Amino acid sequence: MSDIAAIKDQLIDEMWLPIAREAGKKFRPHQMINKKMKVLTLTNDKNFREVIELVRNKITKKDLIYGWHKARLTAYRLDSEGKMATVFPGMTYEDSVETDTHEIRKEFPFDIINLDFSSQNPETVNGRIEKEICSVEKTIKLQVGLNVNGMALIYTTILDSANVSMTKIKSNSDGINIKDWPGLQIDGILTTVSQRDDKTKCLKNVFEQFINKYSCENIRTMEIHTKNLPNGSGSIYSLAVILKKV
Amino acid sequence: MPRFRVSNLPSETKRLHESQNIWRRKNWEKTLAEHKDDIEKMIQKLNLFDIWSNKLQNIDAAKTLIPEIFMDAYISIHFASYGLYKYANMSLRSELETVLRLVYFSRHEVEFKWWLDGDEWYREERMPDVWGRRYVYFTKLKEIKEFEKACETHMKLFSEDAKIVKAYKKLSKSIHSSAEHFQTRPDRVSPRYDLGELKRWIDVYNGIQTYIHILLSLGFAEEFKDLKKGERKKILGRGMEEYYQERVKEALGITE
Repeated sequence: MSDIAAIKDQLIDEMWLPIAREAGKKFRPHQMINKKMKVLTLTNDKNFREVIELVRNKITKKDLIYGWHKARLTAYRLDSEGKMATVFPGMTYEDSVETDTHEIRKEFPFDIINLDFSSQNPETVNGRIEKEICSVEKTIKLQVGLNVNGMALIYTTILDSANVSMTKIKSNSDGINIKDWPGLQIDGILTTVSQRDDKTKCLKNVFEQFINKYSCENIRTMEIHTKNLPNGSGSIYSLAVILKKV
Repeated sequence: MPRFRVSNLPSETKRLHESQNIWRRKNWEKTLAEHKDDIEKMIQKLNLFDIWSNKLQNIDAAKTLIPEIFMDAYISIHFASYGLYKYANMSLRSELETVLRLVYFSRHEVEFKWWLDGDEWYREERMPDVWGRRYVYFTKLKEIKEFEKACETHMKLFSEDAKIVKAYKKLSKSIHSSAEHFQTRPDRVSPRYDLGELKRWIDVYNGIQTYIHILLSLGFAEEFKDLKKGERKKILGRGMEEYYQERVKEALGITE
């Protein structure tokens, strides 16, 4: 097994599944046989074990799982496995949330949203994480706007040598107006973050502020910052929260 | 749902299943073994449609038609690899027609809705397709006009007997079964790998993909100019030959 597969296995076993199980117990306490949680997962054709495990653990059924991969060829390969309701192809998730008209909108809300950007063959360019974080906020906003009681939200990214601009994250976030929200607070934290450990702290901080911004309560947070990727391109950071609408 | 078991099939269906299994595997494996590099390059061209679907996501016609354009090309590779060259060409013609419709519908939203509802208004006026007769409509579009002006006569796409016109005719000829394109022959009753046919199809495939990326670049000029430089470079470099890269840039005033 390659190191990258081992890293994903670690995330699935130690964090994603426990979070999904806990969300199932919390939000579907009376559904004993199968929690039937509706799932959106950014995944790929090389490793979609999370899909298999979610079904095997009776957290969901295959007809309730929606996959995403930005490359159409990968999405078709994934779809050919027949393990999900459908796979959305041909567009980055970050770009899709910019539009109201994408087909995926009809499928919202979800109970579990696994935004694993590391599965999408991300380009290592400046501004990547800022755009991912913006799409995370838009996803929360969309979910909350559809009156969900709660959700499990998992964000996974590659931390590489590119700097993360907190100023950009703030301006993106402040561009999404919410009544009485004073704006993202980045005082006291670096405006440009280069060290990986600093990046994890800042990202966690931003998540916590998003949770407040959208009047949610954070029931549970888990995070894993993995060892370096085998090709030396960085490390993987995964942050999971269970949110409840207040 | 009944489970598939060969032993449960009636006799003729069982024979159909067995012969299909054998010729499909033989042709597929021979084609992929001998032409893997060509096939790989052709598949890589398909990735360019991801750039287009990302960029044109707010255009209704693009949202509906780009997946179909992609699928026609993708399926064409499958058909050709199974030795089904006639159907491989059929898919390419469909791909070309759909991209022409996309350019037209992106400027005709009402007609697009009619078309989605199955209305074939253009047939009442004896028009072969939504854009009218021949390709006159496209030659009126500013960017295409500029492009055609920049091309030498034998490299033009739309004028009489130009590249797209010829390619379309060639595909139609193979679809409407002129004898040379029959898939059965006295010495060949089942579909069979054929080096000559495959090479002809590869040429046509590559030509059609070039025309398609030119059409999209010119038909969606503003969006193309607004792409990230790297993405634009990919479309120009991987999607079309050097001669056309320069003409597209000239027509759109791209100086990079």
